[in-house]
Amino acid sequence: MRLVLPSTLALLLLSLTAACGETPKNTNVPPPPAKLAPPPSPLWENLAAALGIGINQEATEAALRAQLATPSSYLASARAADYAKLVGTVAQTYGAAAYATRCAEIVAVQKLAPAKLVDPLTGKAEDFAGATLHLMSYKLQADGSGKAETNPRSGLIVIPTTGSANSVIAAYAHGGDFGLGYAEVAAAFGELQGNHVVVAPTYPGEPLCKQAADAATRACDAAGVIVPAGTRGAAYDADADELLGMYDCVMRAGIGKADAKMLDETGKDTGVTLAAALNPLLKRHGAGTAAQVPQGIVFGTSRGGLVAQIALAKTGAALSALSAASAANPAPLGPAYLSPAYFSCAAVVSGPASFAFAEFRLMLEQWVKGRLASTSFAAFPGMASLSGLFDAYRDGTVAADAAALAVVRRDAPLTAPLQLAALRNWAKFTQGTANGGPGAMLVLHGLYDKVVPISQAQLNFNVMLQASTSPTLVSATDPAKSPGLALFGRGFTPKADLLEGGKLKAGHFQHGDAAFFGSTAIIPGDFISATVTGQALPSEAGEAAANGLAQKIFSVPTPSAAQLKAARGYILAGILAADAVPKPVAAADAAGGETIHLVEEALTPAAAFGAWRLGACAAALTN
Amino acid sequence: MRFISFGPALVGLFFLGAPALAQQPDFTLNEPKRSGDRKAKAKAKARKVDNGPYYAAIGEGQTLPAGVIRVRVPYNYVTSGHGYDKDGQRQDLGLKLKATATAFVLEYGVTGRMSLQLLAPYILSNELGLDGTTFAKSDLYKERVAAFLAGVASKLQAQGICPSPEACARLLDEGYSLPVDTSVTLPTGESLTLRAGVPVKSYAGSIVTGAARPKEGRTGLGDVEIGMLFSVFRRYNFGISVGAGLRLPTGSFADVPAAERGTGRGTVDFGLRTNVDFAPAPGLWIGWQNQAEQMLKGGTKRQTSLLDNGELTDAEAQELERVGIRNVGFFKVGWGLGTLTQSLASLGVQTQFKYAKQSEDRLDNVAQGPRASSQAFLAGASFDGLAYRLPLQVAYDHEVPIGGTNVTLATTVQLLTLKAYYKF
Repeated sequence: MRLVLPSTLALLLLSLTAACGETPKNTNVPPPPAKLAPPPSPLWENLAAALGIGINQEATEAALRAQLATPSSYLASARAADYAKLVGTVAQTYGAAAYATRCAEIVAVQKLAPAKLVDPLTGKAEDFAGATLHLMSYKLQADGSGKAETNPRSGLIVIPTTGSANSVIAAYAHGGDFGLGYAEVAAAFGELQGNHVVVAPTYPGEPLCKQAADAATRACDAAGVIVPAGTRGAAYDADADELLGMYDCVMRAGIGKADAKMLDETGKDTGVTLAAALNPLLKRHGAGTAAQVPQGIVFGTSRGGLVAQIALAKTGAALSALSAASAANPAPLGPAYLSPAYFSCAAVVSGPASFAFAEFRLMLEQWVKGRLASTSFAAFPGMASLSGLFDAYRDGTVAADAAALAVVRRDAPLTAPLQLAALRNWAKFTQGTANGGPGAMLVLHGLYDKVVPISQAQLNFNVMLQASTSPTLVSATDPAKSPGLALFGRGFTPKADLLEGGKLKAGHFQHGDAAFFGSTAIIPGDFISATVTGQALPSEAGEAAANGLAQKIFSVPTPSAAQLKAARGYILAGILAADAVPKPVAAADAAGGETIHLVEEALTPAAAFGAWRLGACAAALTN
Repeated sequence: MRFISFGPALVGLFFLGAPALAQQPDFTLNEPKRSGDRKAKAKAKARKVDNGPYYAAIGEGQTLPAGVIRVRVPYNYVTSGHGYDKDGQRQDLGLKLKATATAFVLEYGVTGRMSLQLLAPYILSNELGLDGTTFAKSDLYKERVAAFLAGVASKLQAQGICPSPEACARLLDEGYSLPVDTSVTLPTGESLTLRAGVPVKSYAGSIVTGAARPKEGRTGLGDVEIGMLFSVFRRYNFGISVGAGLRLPTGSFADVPAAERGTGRGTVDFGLRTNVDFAPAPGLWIGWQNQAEQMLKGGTKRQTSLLDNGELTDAEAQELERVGIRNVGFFKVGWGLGTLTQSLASLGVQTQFKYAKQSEDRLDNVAQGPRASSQAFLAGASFDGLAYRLPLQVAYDHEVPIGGTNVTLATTVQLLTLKAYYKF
């Protein structure tokens, strides 16, 4: 009985105190992992939609690979009209600032040293008597009136010492973003410096280096700086402006429309002007409307590969714009825009092609979302100047279409028709009667490239191939057709001792290093090689005169679905797996007029470039 | 997060000090055995005969008189809303505790110097809530999330997505999500699919918070304890006692998922208790009690799922050990108000400084965290019916935490104890 009382009291107290206060509840607790769902990401999704690409969200790796390997839907035949509109839009934006690609003044040309021959494998250099190296200062146009910009730019120009009317002007777009060093130019051209006037600008905001740029310090090497870095520009886009602008200065000097004193190493006037020095050296197209125009090629490596293609696209846009000249609008690109470049050959080595494709698309997402600085892609050449490219878009002050256009302006596949328009055998071009012969393009890439994945070259090659073989007309009023393109591509395998378990060993990149230069392409070629026959030019043509040059209406072809299907075969094989060596297309599309050229023997990149220069490119330069 | 369970720290009963019995008229003090202690014998005899003033305060080491049974029924109302971090700083993990417990305590005086005790705690209610927002601000959350993200960051770096651990961590913090559904293996061996497009840090937050997300806790019988207390030395104003006991894992523990908090500790523990009491003046007792516990036999603990902490994994149970001596004790001052006037002889007050140093919990020999320590202040009052020959006592104590380290929840305890005596 005595025990019952306390227990009863305790239970009574229990009932009282248990009611005190609120029962603790779980609040603001996130859902369990199984119930987490992707949050909406309209900024990225809208931009991806504007570019016609996937949003990088898939359940399986296979699905992701397939998605990433699918290029922009603009390249599909079903969206041919959209693609034409997009290309037209980007051409307009190029044209709006076309003056930035034109030379206003050559300030000075000063000799620096004899040219060199540099072994890309060892870096060993020796004097080359066939050419001399010069520093060229120049100014581009600041606006459409032709007014010169305030501060001069700098670049290197290699001038052959001998020869008679056998030198081609070669616009060289360098790689990396450390600055321009002559060693890279010398390694790229070798003895071709003896018959090429090599024009190599820095890019805006980069220094000009005496010898080479040091990848480790991201600056000029111990040899020092010739010209310090200036104001940084928006990479790729502004780079192409500088490449075209410096080329324009030299081309004008070649036809006597621009000139400057040439100084010796000590800064003394040599008494010879640039125009006088170049005039006897330069080889002209020699026939057709552009007969007096010096022949030109464009060559880019790594970052410069895409820069070269954008330069081509800007040239194509300019040609298209000029073709629309009329009595009411005689100068569509402004009164000071006299002439575009007239390139016949283009070489792209280890170059990126599209930030909206394959592995790079994964980084584009982070870029758009403002996370670029936290990714490895922040170190990709040019990104330092582009990290804020989408700031205004994220702020809501720029629409998705406009933000997407900033990507398209730096995209080779999405500007392929404009590139085709710019690249042809101009000797076979006669205003109104002959469309010109096929230009030549070379695409070289390391299959195991760790910096720019092989998928970039695969897309680049295949889209250019399809664009050139499927000259679907864009302009309803202009039936002009592309003259076609001799397109060569090679994927290179590094030396066997650099591979381990099917992958490139650590410390090797197969990108501008010995692992690339020492690699070989063995039959059959890993890319298709095609020569596309030229097509007849209808008689219609625009008319505009500039230094005796004619302008032309150019076609804007788009690839067919069947060709894209073949392209995806490459892309799928190589995407995301450097050890998945792509296979060549089994057969050519005979109906497209192309022929397949398989490499019959092992070639190094340098040998492939040399063979192309003396083969297909030479053909594109032959009248 | 260390185990949140209802052990003695919450119930507060293990070897609960035997309260004053010495001065009740019906019972005699233990006779001092040493023949030389004649003064003590004389005082005891005098008190027995004279039935002098009564004080509702006594040393904590006092044993029951021979043949006396005492039944105690405590009632604990326990709340908590904060703990202490490793540096002793107060921390709010967003956890709110409200629980009630009782026990049945049976004590028996075998001789005048030795008492036996049986204690059976019982958890009546066990409610815990978590505020995810507050928890996400805690260092514990940040540490756990950072650890999760560091594992993912290393993989991202290996894939070349980001150049350094710092950059990868920053990328994840900025909301990076994987482009493809990716399975990862959690420390529990479970597989978690990180869905494409879902920020990785969302998973980190979900898992870390989920691991702390409580459900309604288990109720029922806790760990039963048996023990004895022996009065080693006793004088009218000074005493030393020692005791020993066992705690048996009768409460729920091994197969209780973390969200539900068991009622026991899962191990067999041996305890050794020491009491020293001193009365500097009549009715005023100063005492120290320490109980050192050592695990005798380890237990097991099944793993809780990291995907749902209300579920157990299929993995084999882990071996549980508690390493090191666990010490709990207090310093006490008790005062019988009878020193003011005998009309208040039935009332007493007390205050305690309590301390505890926990052992180290190990699962499969992996420490589950640093040893926790805590300090608390207790104040209470009691009514002693023995002053009126009524064999009942009622005590109320209020305990508040005042410090500690590595304490997830520092509890505030309101303890009401009813006691009844019976003499055979």
